[in-house]
Amino acid sequence: MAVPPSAAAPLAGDFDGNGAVDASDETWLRAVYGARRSEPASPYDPAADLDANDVIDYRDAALYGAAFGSVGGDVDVSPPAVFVTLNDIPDDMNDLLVVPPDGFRITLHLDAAGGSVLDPATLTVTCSQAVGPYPPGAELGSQFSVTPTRAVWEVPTGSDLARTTHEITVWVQDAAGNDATETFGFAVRDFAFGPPLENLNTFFLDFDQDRSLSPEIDFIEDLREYGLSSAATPALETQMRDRLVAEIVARVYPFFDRGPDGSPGVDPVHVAFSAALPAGAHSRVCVGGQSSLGPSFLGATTLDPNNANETTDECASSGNGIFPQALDNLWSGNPEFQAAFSPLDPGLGGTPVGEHPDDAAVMAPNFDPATASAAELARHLEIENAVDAFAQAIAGVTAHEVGHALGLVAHGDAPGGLFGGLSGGRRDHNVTAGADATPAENFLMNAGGSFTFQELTGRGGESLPVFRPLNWAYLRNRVALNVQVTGLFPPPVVDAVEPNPVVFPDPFTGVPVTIRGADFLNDPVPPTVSLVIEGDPTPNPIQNVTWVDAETLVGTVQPALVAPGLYDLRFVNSDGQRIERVDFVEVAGP
Amino acid sequence: MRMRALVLAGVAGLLLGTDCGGGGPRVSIWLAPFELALAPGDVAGVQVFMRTNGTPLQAYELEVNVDPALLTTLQVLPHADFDDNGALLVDPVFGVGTGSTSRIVDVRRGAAASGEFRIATLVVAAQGPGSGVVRLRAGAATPTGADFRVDALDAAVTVAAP
Repeated sequence: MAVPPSAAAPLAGDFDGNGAVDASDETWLRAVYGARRSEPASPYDPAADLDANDVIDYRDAALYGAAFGSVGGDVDVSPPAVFVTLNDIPDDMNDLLVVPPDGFRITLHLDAAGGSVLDPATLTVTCSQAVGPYPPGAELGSQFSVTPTRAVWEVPTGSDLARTTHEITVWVQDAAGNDATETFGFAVRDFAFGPPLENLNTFFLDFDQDRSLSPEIDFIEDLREYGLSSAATPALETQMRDRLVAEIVARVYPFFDRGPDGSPGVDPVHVAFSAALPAGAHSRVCVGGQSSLGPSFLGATTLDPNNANETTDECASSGNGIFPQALDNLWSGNPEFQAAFSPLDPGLGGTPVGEHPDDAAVMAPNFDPATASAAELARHLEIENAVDAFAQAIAGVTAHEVGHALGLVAHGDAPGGLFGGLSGGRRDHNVTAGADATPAENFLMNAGGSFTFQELTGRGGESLPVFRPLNWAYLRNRVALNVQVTGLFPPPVVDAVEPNPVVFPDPFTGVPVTIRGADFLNDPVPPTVSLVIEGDPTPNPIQNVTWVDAETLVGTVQPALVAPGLYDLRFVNSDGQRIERVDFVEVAGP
Repeated sequence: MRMRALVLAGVAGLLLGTDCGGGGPRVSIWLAPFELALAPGDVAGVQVFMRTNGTPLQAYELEVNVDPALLTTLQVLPHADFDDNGALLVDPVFGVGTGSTSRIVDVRRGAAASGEFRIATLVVAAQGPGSGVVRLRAGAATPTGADFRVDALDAAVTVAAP
C-alpha cells in the first residue's frame, strides 16, 4: 500500500481540506451523517468523526458549527491511501493470488489519510481484461459497494474471466482534490478439481461412541470429569448431555457464518452439522474421550487438500476426533478455566451437577431465575458459566478440526498453498508469510498449542477465533490452489500460424508449422498447442512443440491426427494461461 | 381540508419531565401548543421550543414520532430562531413499527444559542378520531461536542370524531 506523505493538519471541521471551515464543509458532513464505524456498509469516514466516538452525529456537527468561520488552516495536499487486494487478503499474502473465473471479490481499502474526507463518488476501477460483459478498460467503479473506507465487488457468476493475468487499476480522490492510483495484478485459473466446497459438506458429530472401551460413553465420561453431570442422577445427566450436545452444534455454526440452527448468514460456508446420523453423504467426527496421540491433544483430523474426500470417517482412527479430556490437561492452571469449572469439577473441589441440593430445583424445566432464591440463583449461574465455557471450547475445537477436513491449511505459500506450516506443531496450521511463525491474531486455524483458554472461548476480553481472510476465501471458493502459477507473466498472444492453410502433401507426411506471437514461456515445459474443430471437442495436438524464443514456437501437424477442416487454435502456456483463436487454422488434404 | 390557525400558548408551556438536580448542561424541549385539539382533515403548524440552562447549544437532532392513525407529519422545517441557513438534515417521513417518525438535524454556525428559542416547525395533518401523543426525542450538544441532558415533553393530541 502506498504511504502518503505526512498529512497536513487541517482545521477540525474542514472536511474539504480548503483551509477554512465554511459552508462547503456542511455538504460533506451531511453526506456521512449518521454513519457508524461498526456498520461496514455505512459511509463512515474517520475524517468526519471529530470527537472520534465511532459515529458521526450531532456532536460532530456541534464541533463543526463552533469552528465555522475559522480560516488559515493547512490546505490538504495529502493524497488518500488505497490498498487493492482480492477477498480482503492482506498485503503480506496477496503477492501471487490465483482466483477462479468468477465469484471472487475485489476489495479496496480506502483511507483519507488524515486529510479531508474521501469522495467515494470519484472511485474509478478498470481491469486489463474483460470482466463478463465489460470489455478491457471499461469503468467498473459503479459495480462496487462504496463507503469512504471500503469498496467491494463480487465478480458475478458467469463472468468467465480469461484464464490469464489480470491487472486492476484504481483511482480515487478526496474532497480537496488529491488523488491516488494503485494497480494490482492477479491470475485467473480454473479449479484443478472443481470448487472445494461446491457441494454441501455435512459433518456428523458423533457424541455416542465408546472408543475408550470403558463402561460408559466417552462424552458422558467427559461430562463427569468436569462436573457437568453425575452418575448419581441419570435423568439430570441425560438432560445435561442433550443440552451440551445442542449447545456445541449451535456454536460450531457461527464460525462458518451460519446461525445456530444452520441458517445462512451474510456470507456462509457450505457446511452442515448434525448430532444425529444424517441421511445422505457425510463425514463423521467423534466427540469424546482422550486421543491415542496423547492426553494434550484436544482434537485431530486429517488435512484433506482441496476437500477431495467429502465422506471421511475421522472416527476410524483412535487418534482423530475431538477430545474434551484434554481441556484440563492443557488449562487446569488457567484462571478463566478454574473460574468456569471449579464450582462443579470434583477435581477442583466442586460439586457436580446432580449432587448439589439445589440442582433438582435449578435444573427443573420451570426454573425461573427471577423468582429463585439467592442460593439457587448462584448455583444456576455456576452451571450456566460452566456450560458456556465447555460448549464454546468444544465448538471451537470442532470448527478447527472441520477446517482441516475441508482442506485447511494447505502447505506452503499461495498459490500452491494457503501459508500452511510444514513441520512441528505448525504443520497443517496457519503460519505467517515469510516466516514459520504462528500469527499473533486469534485465527481459528492457528496451531492448537498456541491458543490460550481465553482465546479459544472468547473469555477474559478476548474475541472468539475466526478464519483468516485467505482461509475464508478458500472456504468460499474464491481462491484456487495452483502450483503451475509461479509468477504474474504477461498474457500470451498468438498472431499467426505459418503456413496457413496447412496442406498435407500426402496422407502420411506431417507439415512443420511455425507459431508466432508473444510471451511464450518455456519453464518448466514449452506451451501446448492444439487444434479443435466445431462439433468435436477432442483437442488434436500439434506434435513436438518446441520453444524457439518468446515469440516463436515450431511443431508438426500430423495428418493422422488432424483431418482437413477449419480449426480453432488452443494455446496453453506453461503457467496455465490459456488463449483461444477461433477459426484460426485451415487444414487441407493433398 | 380545513386550515386552522392555532394561537400559540404564548407561555413557556407545561414541562413534564423531572429535574432531579445534579450538574451538567440540560435542555428542555416542548411543543407549543402542547395540547392539540383537531378535527379530521385539519392541518396545523406546531412550534418546537428549546430552552437551555445557560450552557450554549450548538447542534441538535430531533425525532418526532406520531401515531399515523391520528396524525401525519407533512413537513418538518428548521426555525430561524436557531439557525437561518437551513437544516443540516431532514429525514423523509417513514413508518417505524406502528409509529411514523420524522427527524431533523440542525447546527448553528458560529456562536451557539442560549436561553429559550424555537428550533423547528412541524406541519401536521389530523387523520382519524382518537387521542394520543406527539413524542419528541432529541440529542443536543454544546460547542465542545458535549452532550446535553434532554428533558423532552410528549404533547397530547386529540382528534375529534367527524
